[in-house]
Amino acid sequence: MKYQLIHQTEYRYAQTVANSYNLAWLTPRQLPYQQVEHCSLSVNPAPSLIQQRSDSFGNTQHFIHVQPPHKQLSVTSRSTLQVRPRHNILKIRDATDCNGLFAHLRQHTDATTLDSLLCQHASRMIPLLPAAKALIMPLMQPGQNILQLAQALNQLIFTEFQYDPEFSTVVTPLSEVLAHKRGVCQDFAQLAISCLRCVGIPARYVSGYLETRPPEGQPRLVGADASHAWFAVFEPTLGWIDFDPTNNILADEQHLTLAWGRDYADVVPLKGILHGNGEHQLSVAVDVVPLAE
Amino acid sequence: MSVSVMPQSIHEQQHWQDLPQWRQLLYWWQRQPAQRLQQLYSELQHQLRENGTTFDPWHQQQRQLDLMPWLISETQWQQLEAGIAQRHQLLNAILHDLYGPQQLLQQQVIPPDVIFLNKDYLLPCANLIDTAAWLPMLATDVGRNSDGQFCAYSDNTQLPAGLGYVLEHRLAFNNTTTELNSGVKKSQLAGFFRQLQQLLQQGCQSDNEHKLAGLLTHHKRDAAYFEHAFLANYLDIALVHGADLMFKDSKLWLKTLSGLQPLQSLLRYLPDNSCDPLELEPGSSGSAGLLQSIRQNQLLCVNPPGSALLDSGALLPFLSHCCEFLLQQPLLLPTVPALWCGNASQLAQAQTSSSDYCLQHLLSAQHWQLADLTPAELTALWQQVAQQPAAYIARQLLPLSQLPCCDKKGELQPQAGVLRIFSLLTERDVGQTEVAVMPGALGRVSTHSHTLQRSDRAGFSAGFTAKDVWVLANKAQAVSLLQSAKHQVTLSRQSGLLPSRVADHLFWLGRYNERLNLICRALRAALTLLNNSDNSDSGQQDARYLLSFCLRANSSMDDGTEQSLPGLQPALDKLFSADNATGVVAILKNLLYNAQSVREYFGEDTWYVLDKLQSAIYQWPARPQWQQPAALLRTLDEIVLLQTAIYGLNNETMSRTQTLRFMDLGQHLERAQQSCSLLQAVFANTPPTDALMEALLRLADTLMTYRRRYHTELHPLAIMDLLLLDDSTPRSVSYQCARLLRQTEKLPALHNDASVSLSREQRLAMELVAILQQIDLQQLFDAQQHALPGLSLLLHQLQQTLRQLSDSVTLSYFNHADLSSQWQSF
Repeated sequence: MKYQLIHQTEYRYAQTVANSYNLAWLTPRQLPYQQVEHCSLSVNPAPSLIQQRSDSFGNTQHFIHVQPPHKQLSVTSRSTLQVRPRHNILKIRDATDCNGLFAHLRQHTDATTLDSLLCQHASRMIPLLPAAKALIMPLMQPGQNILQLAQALNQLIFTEFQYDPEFSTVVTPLSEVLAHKRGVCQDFAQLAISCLRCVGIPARYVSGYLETRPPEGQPRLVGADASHAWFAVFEPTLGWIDFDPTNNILADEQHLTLAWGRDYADVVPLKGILHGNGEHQLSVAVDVVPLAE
Repeated sequence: MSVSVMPQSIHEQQHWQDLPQWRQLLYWWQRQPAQRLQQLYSELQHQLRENGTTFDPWHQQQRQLDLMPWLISETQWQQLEAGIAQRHQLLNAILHDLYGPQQLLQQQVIPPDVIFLNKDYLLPCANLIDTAAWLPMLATDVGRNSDGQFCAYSDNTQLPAGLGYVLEHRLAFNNTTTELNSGVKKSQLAGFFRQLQQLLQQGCQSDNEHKLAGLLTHHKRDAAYFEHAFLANYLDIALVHGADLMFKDSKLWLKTLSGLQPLQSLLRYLPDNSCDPLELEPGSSGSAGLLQSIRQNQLLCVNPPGSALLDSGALLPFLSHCCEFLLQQPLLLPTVPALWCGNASQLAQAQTSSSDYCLQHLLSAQHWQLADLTPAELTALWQQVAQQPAAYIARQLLPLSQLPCCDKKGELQPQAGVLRIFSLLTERDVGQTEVAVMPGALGRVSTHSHTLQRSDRAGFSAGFTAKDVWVLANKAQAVSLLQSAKHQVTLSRQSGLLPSRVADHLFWLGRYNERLNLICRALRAALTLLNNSDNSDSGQQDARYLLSFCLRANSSMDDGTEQSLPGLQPALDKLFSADNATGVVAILKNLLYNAQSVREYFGEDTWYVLDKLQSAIYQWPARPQWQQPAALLRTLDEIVLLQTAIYGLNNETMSRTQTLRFMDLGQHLERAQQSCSLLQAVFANTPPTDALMEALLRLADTLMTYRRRYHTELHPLAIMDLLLLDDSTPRSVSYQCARLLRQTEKLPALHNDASVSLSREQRLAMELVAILQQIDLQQLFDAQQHALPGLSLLLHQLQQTLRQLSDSVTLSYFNHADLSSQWQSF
């Protein structure tokens, strides 16, 4: 599938502010199953500095400094990309079991395995909670491989947790999500990661988008899409396999990948800090438009 | 001299026997009467207070400096120096690798879990430094191991405390014990500090025009802060807080009264995670853009964030392998035996030999001295470890050597000691680094050898006994470089670089000092009234007017509201209650907070007076009784006298620059404001009694002036003229406003716009002067000299304008105080 992607973030402040500093992870990754043909990031008012670098996960990160006094700031990422089917569903049965995984992790220290080891421990947004462990333990079966376990977890979260955009914010702790059994995609991804790490399986957080299809016969609504998040599990031979617990599916042609890290805090699409206090309003509009190939 | 040597322990003196310097020292020592040694000892402690890194009268445990130095022979030092230099090179190489190619992990020299579990491994710091010198400064803690060899047991890169102390100790020795000091040939320290200065001056790029460097400190007023202030002063670099800094054009800039000045290096004394609220811990106190400016090679940070990984102790078990792997050399300086609990056999070893081990948790930085635990606690702890053994390191506690220490009586007793050795690493040629080790160290001694080896910083803030460490030299060094270096430094100080935050503190210092002064004067007047009137009703009533002024003086309430007169005892209780936010103690606390925040701007004498002032107020009875005013009066006299001394000292010692101007502005603004409020309290209600009017004149130190002019008769109108309008009276409102006008004219210009000829501050000061000039006193009093409502309105108007002036100064010059807000999107 070929897509045009527009992600616009707009901040309005009650008072004029000078000097806002921002970090953005808004550039889609170049991947075997995702070719980015074009990508641009525009900032208004014009930034006095915009510096691009590759972070320790290989994501593209931008440092943005907007100096002149302004009451409104908008950051827009535009890209055209091609996403290919991953056919991961067919690979699930080939995966190793926990013992095989642990043996691999003990014996190998190549760069890919090191990346996975970094995603085996608690991180800022993802504590390893006993309640998360209690959630995954009953799912573990003899003879089951790690991707089957991940799939079972994907399904469990989908069926037992309620999708509720009113419930959580970007800083709602995982314990709240667990206690009330509700949340959004980001919460579900981080919950799944906590569960997997509790039993020693490396899992990472993926930030991106999902193509939404309008009901039959109705036009696509502009700006109706949103950021999306899911998780990926490390399998020694297959690499990272992505699961989407919000929709109980494997991430595939409809999933556009921006960046990944240990948790949301590593790859916040856009975060900032400004001098001067006061209220601000945030609005985000995302469009994932399928293009005719 | 005989010092009892503890069985089996090594004694440093064994290494000193053949040193001529030791024989010389001992000869001198033995000839001193005990009394002389005691006297020298206390002089040395006094010198420390004078040098002023320990100011905190509430603090019971303060640092003591031992009269007997720690000697290290030249040959021993050469070995130690080579070992420290190699260790510094090694740790530098380790940071390069772990935040870069990670060969140490890929080649299994260090288990990845040790690093990835560690809260001090900061991903945003990956590939932060692209030059060879990642770790410019290191402080290594060294003790003696069971073989009697020096052995490193801890590395300090994040907030290496003690650099200022070493300097201070040597200065104290130089000033106190000339005869003890001058005879012994030893290495001087100044060269090392000059190297540090050069390093900071050079920054990242040698072609920078401005050579501005800063020491980044925290907000707490603790022992560490005073060390920072002392060090910044000595190195002639600005003492800065995160709020003083701003990122622009890839650089960090210092916000000063004369605009933004680019900083090219920072001696960083903030924890790693607090350095950059954008990229590291949100809401922390550092500066957004700090990491970015390092990354863009525009800022030399000593040390860059991320280095605390070394301090965590996580690498201790692997250091000798790292050395072989990275430097292809064996470790020169032995490192403390340490075990990683993630390895089953090492865990078993730690469990069996637990008595002399210390266990550290890499996630929480908690640690336990295993010998101190009961068997039950020990069992519980090992169970906790079993949950996640990879997150624990066990480090052996060294047996440590004993060395002679002088006690308060001048007698020598053996105590265990450790050294903290400082070193600098610089890039000499491209890719080539070189280490300079300070020929001296911070020595610490204690009867309890385990406490000395705690790796947390609690040991430093709690106070300890220090030793000056003398690295002996065979070549005589005629002059102390320390003094001459200090002199040079003072000459180069630029007064134009006053950080906005400092101006803010000075302004409020001026205000609080004046506020305290006026309250104490009014209190004194009130109590005198009670004393003289034998507690008559009218005397009590007059005292209540003055007390109502005192109660209002520190409240933010608008003075326009009418309030009923307070009762005597409730008013005194309120003023002296330590928990009352508007009481005298609260003012004193604010005064001290502001003074301590700009500590480096005051001379020692000012601190001495502030210290006295503090103890005077804290000696105040918990519930002062108004019926017995005499004792209270004596205390108030003392307080007022001490405060007068502060004014005098500051006028004498502070340079005539913007520094003094902001304090002066604060003082006179406050005096004008409070005088209006006082006149309001005395005149605006019923006509004041003669006794009250006399008290007012006495309070304002103008009784004599009044008597010269009007003899003995007390006219409200005449008093009002003297205290409000007469600009030759130093306590009149008019005098204050004229002074405010002069000072606002000299404030630094903020606008380059030529069309703006007057600043807002100047306009407000002119407005004040104009209001006062237009006053016709006759119209504010009736024929019986009763005040008319117009007087109250006028005083209120003056106070409003003064408030606007204060706000305006704050807005124009101190706007750093902007809170910053943060967001995250999804």
